Amino acid sequence: MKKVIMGTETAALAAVLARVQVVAAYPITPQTVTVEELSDYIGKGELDAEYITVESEHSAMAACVGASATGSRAFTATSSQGLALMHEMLHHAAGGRLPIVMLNANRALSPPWNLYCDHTDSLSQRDTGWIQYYCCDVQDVMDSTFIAYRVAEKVMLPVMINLDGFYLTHTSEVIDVPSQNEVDRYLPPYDPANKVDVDNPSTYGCVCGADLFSSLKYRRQMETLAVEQAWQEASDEFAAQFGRSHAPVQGHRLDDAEVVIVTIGTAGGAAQLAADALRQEGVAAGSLNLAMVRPFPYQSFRQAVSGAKHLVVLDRDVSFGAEGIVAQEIKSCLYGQSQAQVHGFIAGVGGMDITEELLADMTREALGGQKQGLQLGDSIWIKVLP
Amino acid sequence: MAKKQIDSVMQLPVMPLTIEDMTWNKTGTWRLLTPVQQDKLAPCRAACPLGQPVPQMIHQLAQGDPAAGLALLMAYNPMPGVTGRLCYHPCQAKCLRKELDQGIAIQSLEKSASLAQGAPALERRADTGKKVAVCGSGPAGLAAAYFLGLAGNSVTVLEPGKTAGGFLTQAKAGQLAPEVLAQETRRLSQVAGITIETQAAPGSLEGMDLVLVDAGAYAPDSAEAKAVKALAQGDAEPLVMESEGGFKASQVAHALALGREAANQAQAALGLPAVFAQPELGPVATVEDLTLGFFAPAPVSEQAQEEAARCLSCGTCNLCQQCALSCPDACCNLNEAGGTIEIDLYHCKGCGICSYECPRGALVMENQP
Repeated sequence: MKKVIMGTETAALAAVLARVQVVAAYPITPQTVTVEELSDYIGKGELDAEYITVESEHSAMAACVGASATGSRAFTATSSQGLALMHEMLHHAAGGRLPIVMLNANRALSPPWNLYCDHTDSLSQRDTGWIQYYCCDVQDVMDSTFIAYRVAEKVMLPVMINLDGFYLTHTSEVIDVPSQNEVDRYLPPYDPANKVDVDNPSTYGCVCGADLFSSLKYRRQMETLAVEQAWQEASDEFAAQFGRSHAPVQGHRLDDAEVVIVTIGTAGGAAQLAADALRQEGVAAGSLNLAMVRPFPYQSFRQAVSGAKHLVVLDRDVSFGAEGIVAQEIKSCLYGQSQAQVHGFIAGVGGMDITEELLADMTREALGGQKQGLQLGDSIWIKVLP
Repeated sequence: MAKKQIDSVMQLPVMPLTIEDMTWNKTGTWRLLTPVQQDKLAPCRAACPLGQPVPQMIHQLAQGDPAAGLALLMAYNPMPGVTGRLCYHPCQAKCLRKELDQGIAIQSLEKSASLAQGAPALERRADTGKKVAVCGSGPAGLAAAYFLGLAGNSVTVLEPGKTAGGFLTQAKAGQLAPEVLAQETRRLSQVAGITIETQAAPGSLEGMDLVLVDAGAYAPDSAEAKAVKALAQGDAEPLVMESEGGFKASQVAHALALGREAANQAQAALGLPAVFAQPELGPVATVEDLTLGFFAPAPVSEQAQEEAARCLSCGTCNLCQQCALSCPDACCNLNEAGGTIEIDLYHCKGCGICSYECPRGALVMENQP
């Protein structure tokens, strides 16, 4: 069924179709509509789930941790400050191997106060052990929610679905809404091997001494690194059923590309248009939407850019004292593997629009054209005061 | 159970959870302080002239077992139905429940227990072969006879009058009906296996090993006192129970205590071990020993079981199991058969939460491993 629908509404509808059993969430701009819609669905009896009202995002995630440990499919949604407040519980969810799925509306962290798109909130949670997926459009929000639960419940790790604040949360698009039967066919009910069970008591999150701690972490790392492959397979199966693919790395005109524009989130659309425009100028350009940041899709990424000489990397974030986080990740991935030059650009933080022209200009600068921004450290900052 | 051996990463659980049980981990070796159940003396019990186990009796009523409550009383007191009506109940003055709302109606509960049908089967010692006569059947005489009977002696109470009971026969009818006194006398003689002869005449002391005389409550020159003393005439060294100034009806518990003490003196005179000993209990419990927050205010009830449930059981374990609920390591366990809380010292770390949580201060931490 085709429907015109906004990103935040889509996330709620996707949770309904995924038959989530427990929702514990606290409203925050620009995620609020998702929470409102879900409470409506549950209140009207259109979703058979428990809505746990909580006093904070820390409690929201704590409630999801408990719910998931009992074998329920749990969902929550947050943004920015709320995600930061959840930090401790994010470790608990991932370390507890609980397949919770969470929407995060990417928004700048204060101060100064700013409600608009910025990726620092989710990227500064990279090391919590969550799978991180960044949506490029509204259809991606719907589809990746199903893939997320399917992967999460297979590998026993939580997934954060990231939506660019306002660019995606508040944009309405025509999307294909699958039927409940179709979703049920793709996503079977959650039935974990272990769950909190009074008849079979066990301590969850028990104490573990040095003798086994590193072995447990080693196993978790082994199973987290395998997520790239698991997500690829789940995406392939989704494509076989629904005709749409949502792979960890999504390329555009990469086959012969010498310069590749790398983005995460909604900038992927503008990046495709920029590559097309550059092609018309005779530049062998392509674009790459890095949908999965954790685990980093090493194999797919290295393969996708194997022919590239220049990577133009957009960061809507900064790791203060270092550089853009995505650029850092890519350099780490390619070190000793590729001769390609990585050009890190920091632009669009706090809600500045990323346009096709801006990305094309950044690419031209990388190839020796006119300077667009100010070099600071290893990054070029776009549209900052001199 | 032994600790499970894990030899490879893939044998580890995916989720960080305990596999199998943890009893192999004998955390008791970490312990510095040890929880010990040590009942304190409840203030009601401390105030009782007979030292009756008041909280324990009330606990039985709360459990719906008045017969068990009666048995507890009759190990201390042969006539709980009499004290339950006449006593001036100093117990109630000391009730700590008053700190919360209103004190417990202890005397009514004692009376309620005394209404249990039948006679409790108290332990009676093996036959000693000794014959004892008690002249006079006031509460002191009956108590002495009762405990001497429980001690295994062959006891006969000689009463010159028509009715056993001494000064209790003169109690106001509104306070103590003659039928109640008769029932109480019948029950105590049945429990202790003693004989009561009314309208006894002098000259019945043939073959007695010991004679006791109870003329305590009467004026020394009264007709009643003379009649009792006449019964003992001819015995060389009778053991006389005396009290300065006698007893009022409300002091019946003191008369009973006098008789109970005389039974021990008689045992000594017969070369036999004492028959009654008050157990050694800790210091008297105070309001500081209680955690009043555990108890909800509740109005005084006319219904015995409901009223009994209001008792705070000061300083006295009543198996509420708050300790078991609080122990992080499931080390406090109810032994239902024994009616006790058992502490698993193989695993108790000595954290002291049980002691802190005990609503009645009956668990103490001792400086011992």
